[in-house]
Amino acid sequence: MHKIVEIKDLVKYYQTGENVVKAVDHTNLVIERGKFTAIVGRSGSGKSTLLHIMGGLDRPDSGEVWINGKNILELKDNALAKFRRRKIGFVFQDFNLIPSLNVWENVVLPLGLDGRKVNEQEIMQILEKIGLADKRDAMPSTLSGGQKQRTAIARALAGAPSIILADEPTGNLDSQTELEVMNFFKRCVSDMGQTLVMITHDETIAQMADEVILIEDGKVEVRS
Amino acid sequence: MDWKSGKKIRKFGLIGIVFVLLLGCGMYGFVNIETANRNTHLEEMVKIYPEMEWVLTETFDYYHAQMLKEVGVFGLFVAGLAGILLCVLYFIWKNEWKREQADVKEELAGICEQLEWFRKGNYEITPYMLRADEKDEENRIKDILKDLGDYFSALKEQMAVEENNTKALITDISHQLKTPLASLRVSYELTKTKNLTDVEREEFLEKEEQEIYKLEILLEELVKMSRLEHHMIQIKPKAASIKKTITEAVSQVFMKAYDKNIEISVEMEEDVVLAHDSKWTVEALANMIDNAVKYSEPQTAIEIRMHQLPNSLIIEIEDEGQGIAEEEVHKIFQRFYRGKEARRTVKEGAGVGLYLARRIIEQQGGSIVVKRKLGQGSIFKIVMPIK
Repeated sequence: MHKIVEIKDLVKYYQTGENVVKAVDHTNLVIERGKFTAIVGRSGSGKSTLLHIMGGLDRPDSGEVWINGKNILELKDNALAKFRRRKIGFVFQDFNLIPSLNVWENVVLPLGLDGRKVNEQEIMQILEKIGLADKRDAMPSTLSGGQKQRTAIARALAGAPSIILADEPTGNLDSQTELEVMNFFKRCVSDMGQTLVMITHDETIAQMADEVILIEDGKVEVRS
Repeated sequence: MDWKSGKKIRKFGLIGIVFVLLLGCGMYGFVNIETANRNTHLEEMVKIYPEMEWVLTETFDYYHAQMLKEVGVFGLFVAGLAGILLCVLYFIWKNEWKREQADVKEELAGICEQLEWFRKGNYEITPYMLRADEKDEENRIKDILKDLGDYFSALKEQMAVEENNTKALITDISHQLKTPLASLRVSYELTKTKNLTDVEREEFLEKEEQEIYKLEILLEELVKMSRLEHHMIQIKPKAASIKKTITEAVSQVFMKAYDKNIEISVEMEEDVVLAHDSKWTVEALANMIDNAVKYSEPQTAIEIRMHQLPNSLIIEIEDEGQGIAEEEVHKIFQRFYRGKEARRTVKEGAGVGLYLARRIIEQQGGSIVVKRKLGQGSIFKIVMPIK
């Protein structure tokens, strides 16, 4: 077994008025390289917080997050941001596309911001795999919800990250489109040997995963 | 001293040299102008006082020589300065070059060490490479080596997984064959004993025939599965009508459904041309419909629907059967898995059908999921990309 992410004794509490919310409560977790892992759990179970900490978007109260043999919490903010840009791709429920840019421009935008060269062939391959090859010049406003989310996925994949973290990526889509997007998403990630960690509340979508992790009250309950 | 301060010194050195050059040029110009001045002044003075010519010439020459001397001394000083500057620059450059050379050597040694690890079958990253990574520098070779290491270990792991798979398959198959063979043997041995009535013998023979038939079906399925698993069967997607494929699959199961009085309805608004291997897709669909028939009570209905999305086709098979327990949803597509309830109600079946169906669909770039219905039954959904 080859692990890509290892979380050790992670703790993150929030103070809301009088109450302390234990979003992540002494959690240990291992994510295997090249696998599709689904994280399921009720809303408020702390799965989003866990994902955000895993992606270096948030810092925990204590604990360790090892990615590719490196404890990312030891990195300074600048180095962490750089690490995040290079190694991790994010897909969220909202597509966050820039309306004035077409599909291609949206996809290569993060590369440009990072000062990296755009390999046109690679990007085209991603667009083909995600079923958007004929939409490369389309504006976001002309796309359906599923196509918009696929554009956002292509954008996350364009940087060739080793891990893709997705937080309810199909939460805004109807159940048919959800299947379409997930099928493309899964194929892309597995073709490129990348690791996908995805939060979902949908039992049907979770079936597509290689591993399912159930989170309850900030703790890992069941793995199957 | 790092490369940045070295660069700065070099820059100042260059400015110095340019300054010296400019100074030299200025001095040369100054001497020229002064000499020309002297000549015109001398000429004018000689014109006014022709009788004083030699005195004037001598005086002018004296001052001119004096000026040249002073300028010469200053020139020597400037030249010396330039020389020192050049020397300093040369040493800095040489030092830097040496250091770079050492860096390259160290890096090469690091890469060699990493490759040596790979050769020995250790696909981890050497401490040197890890340290280099912490320096936070852009380095393509190191990135590639790391990716290579990951790739190697993934490959190694995959090989191990495949080997284990084959082992498990052989164990599973022999296990699957053992049970019907054992019952066949028992029945055969009973038939061999003489003290049986003709009716009883007839009954046993019939049972044996049934067992043989079951074994044949099972063997056929197992052969299909192991072939598919070891890529001995090529699935070749070709653009074809999906309507024809679905109709073909339904017709294969139709008699079985008819016997149980189960109605199969197919709802297709428009035909879709989809790149798929029709022979194997029929197999997958027939397996799934057959499953629906097998686990449904008589007088129920099975509905097959199609939805076309921008880049995919979704085929749904909805039944009113016994449904799937929540904790089993994840397992029903596994090889030889049969649900608890399924095993209780239906005796035959080896747990191959859905597994085969999933393999076939996935090899064509699709996925299968199942949605549990609240009342009874389930909806199987197949999603296939339209290219």
